[in-house]
Amino acid sequence: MKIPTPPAAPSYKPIAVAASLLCLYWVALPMAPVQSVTGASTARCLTEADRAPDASSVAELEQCSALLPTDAELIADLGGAYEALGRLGDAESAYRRALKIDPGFADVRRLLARLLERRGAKDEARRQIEAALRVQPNRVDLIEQLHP
Amino acid sequence: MFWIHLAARLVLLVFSVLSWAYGIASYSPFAFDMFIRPRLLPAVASFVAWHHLWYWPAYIPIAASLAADIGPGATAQGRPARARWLGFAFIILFGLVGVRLVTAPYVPTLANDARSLVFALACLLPLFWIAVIDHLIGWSTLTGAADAGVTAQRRLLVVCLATAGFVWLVHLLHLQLAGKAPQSSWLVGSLWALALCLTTFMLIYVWLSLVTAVAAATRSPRMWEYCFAAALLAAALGELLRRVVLKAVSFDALIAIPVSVLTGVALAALWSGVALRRASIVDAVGRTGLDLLFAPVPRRRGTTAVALVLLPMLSQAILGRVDRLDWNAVIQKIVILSSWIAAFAIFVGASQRVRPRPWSARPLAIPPIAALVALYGIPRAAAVVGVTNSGRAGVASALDRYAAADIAIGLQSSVFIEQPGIDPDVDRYLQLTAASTINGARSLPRVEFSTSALPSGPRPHIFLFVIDSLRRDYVSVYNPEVNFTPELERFARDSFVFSNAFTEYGGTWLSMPALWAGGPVARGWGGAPFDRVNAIEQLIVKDGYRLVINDFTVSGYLLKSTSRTFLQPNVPSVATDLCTLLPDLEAQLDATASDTRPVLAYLAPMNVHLLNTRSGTTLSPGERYSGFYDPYASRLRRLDACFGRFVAYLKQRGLYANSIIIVTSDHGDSLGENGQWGHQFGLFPEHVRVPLLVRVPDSVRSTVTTDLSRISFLTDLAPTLYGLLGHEVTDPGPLFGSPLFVARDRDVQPRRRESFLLMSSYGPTYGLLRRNGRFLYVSDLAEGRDYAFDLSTSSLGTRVDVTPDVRQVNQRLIRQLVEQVNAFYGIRPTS
Repeated sequence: MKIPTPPAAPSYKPIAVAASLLCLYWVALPMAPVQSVTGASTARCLTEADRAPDASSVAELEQCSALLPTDAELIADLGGAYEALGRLGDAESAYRRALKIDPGFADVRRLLARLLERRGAKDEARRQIEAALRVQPNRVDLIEQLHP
Repeated sequence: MFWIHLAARLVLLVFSVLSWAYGIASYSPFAFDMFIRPRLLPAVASFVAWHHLWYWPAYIPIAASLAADIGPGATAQGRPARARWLGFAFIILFGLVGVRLVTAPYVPTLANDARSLVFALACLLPLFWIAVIDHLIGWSTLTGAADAGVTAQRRLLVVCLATAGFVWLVHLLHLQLAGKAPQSSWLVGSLWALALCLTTFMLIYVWLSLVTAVAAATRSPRMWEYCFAAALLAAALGELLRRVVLKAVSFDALIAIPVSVLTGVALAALWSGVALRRASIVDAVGRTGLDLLFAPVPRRRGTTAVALVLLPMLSQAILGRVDRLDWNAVIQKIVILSSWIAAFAIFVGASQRVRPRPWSARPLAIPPIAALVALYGIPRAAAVVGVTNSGRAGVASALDRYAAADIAIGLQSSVFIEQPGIDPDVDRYLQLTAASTINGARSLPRVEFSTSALPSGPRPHIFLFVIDSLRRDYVSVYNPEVNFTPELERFARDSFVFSNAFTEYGGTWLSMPALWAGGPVARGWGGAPFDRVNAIEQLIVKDGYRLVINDFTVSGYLLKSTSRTFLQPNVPSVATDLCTLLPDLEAQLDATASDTRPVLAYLAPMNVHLLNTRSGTTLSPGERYSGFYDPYASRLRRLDACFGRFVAYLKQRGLYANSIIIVTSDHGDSLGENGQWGHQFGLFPEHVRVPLLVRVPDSVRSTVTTDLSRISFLTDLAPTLYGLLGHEVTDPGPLFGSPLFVARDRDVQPRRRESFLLMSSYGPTYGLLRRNGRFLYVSDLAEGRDYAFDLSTSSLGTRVDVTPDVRQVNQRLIRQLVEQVNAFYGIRPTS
């Protein structure tokens, strides 16, 4: 059996170096991870989207819906704002975007059906109401819209 | 002779640790209510029932091994007198304890009180005692033979680097064998995993370097190196117990400190005693303190190679057996960390031939700093280059997913990688809330969903099936890929299928009472007057229902005055089976057919709970369910058929048309998604999404409307029952559920713009559902990690990055909602 040789210089220097390294680890760990990248602050939009906005905030809604493109409620609000301003084509487009994200959004189907009826697309309006009735069966106002 | 001593100590260790674990579980209110009281694990119940007899197979070998130490030849063998007296006292004292246990079994009497903690600590006494005896006998080895000095610096470095490399290779092998290697980030992930392993073992290297440096400065370097290394081992074991074991059972954080310290010291001391006895019978000349501490480990080349091959095979075999039934991966973490210690010990034994060199600062400083630089640099370099599939923005998520695929890497990542941005105030408030209970509260606010009088006319039977752990995406009406639930699909055609249902509580313990209360519950609910908020029990009393129940969560907390028929009371909760409960329910209905009072049946069977689905024993030869977890799907197919037979029975008896039948679950389960199994502390999509099928009486069906796509919760069921029975339903506030059905000319309560709080039943994990359930945010405070999911893409959703903005908004909302719950229950989280 070969006997290991003890360190050549059993002094206080090894203690000092090892203790310094422990301090380094103490400071460095836990280490911050690489941060996810975001293009702009979305906090305001996330908060704003909790409230039903008024029709005058179209620009803000457009900005937020660009930042949060999967927020069906926000996009539906944008559609409502467009409709209030008479921008019916934009409103219809927004409602369709909202429904693509959330096909079960029956209230938007009803709004879209109303727009479609106004521009004479009665068959599609009927299909939208029928789809809304599958989500909200027996609902009186939908049935009345279907059979005026 | 040594191996007999070792075997006796191992048997004692296993028995003592199991007893300790039972004491700890009984002392923890959460573990007691969750595992012990409902007799969830039959093996544990059996161990407790026969504990007084199991004592003897543990006692007899250790007493026999001690007899050799105190017997006639002991003096000749140089056994110290104190060791002999202690051995003698051990045999007498613990023999008397054994006799006492046989005459009056103690463990079955343990409850959720301080006695359990005392018992757990008492279980450490024999370990300490044996350790003292072994140290008295073996100590001379440490001080007697020629001092070999301390372990050379180069050897320490080689051992730590070799262990890090070994752990990393085993990790890569594990990923490949388990088919878990994430494709998108394999290269970056594996390099990052190497940096993690190096950091771990360089930290150990630095600690051991400090130990050897301090020991080298003393007059007895070997003895002090041994003592310091044993102390490090005790500290590591104690920290492992505190972080992994005690945290997993929500053990009181303050009491956990002394408990983990004492247990860590006991375990390390027992090992140290064994090591010294081993050293006393081999040549200790030329061995350092580290050599002696790991003395029982083989040190020949052949045996080293065999041990290094067998070690990962053994650990993988254990991991493969326990990974689906391991509460918060506790056993897996213990196995992995034990295998690291074993690998380290093997490399210590194998490294004696490493040629020593004079001490130098460079070999001590450069490798640890290089490991830190690699750990810091690899993710950032990947973010700059954009090498993962998701480009620069996805590196954090990609590495997080990589770490989750293997517990060994996940463990290191959770220690070394911080999750930024958690507001310290929010974190502290939520942690304190998670530790707060309403246990012992003398009064709770009384909540009523209706104060109206009993509606006139006949009332329907109500059948409420809460299938424990039933996943939404394993039911065909929610997933067209499913072909094993035809009866539920047929039932769904007559029912309202709610497509967006969730439980607000991950785990049975809070989910079930919340369902009964129709609103939030808080920890310790069982110790408070639950009847004040128990809406379904109030309905049973008010409307004169007969309760037929099989449930192990709420039934024990109903008023004694509420009459009930408990089906199959002697069947443990884990063995509850819908296929045997339903015939009993049918028999009950037939036997009481002349009773004019309607029945409310509440069954919560565990057919598809992970405790039952973990084994594939129910699978017929060739039975496969592509894309699904076979044992789960197989059991669900059986359950579905039984449910279909019950529906046929109701139709045959003319009860179907006028009954309310609800099928749902208290929570879902992870079935291998991202390497996760079970539901423990998690609030992942598969945990919180539930199926919800509601059949209303034919006479009611055309008079109500609903919104099947609106986010709905189990807490909506209580007010829904009130509404369907004709009560005028009041709104107790935003924390409570609301009826799923309303009159045709009315709107169900709008929820699209609201945020809903989710909570783990068992730990400090909180979640938030927003945007009608399309966005899920989870804050796991135990692990310090946040997750976000887009649930609009699929049933299990898509993981999305948590940006600082998202974190800030969601954490603020979580805190606001938790404050509301705390205000309702009068909880004031304080340190």
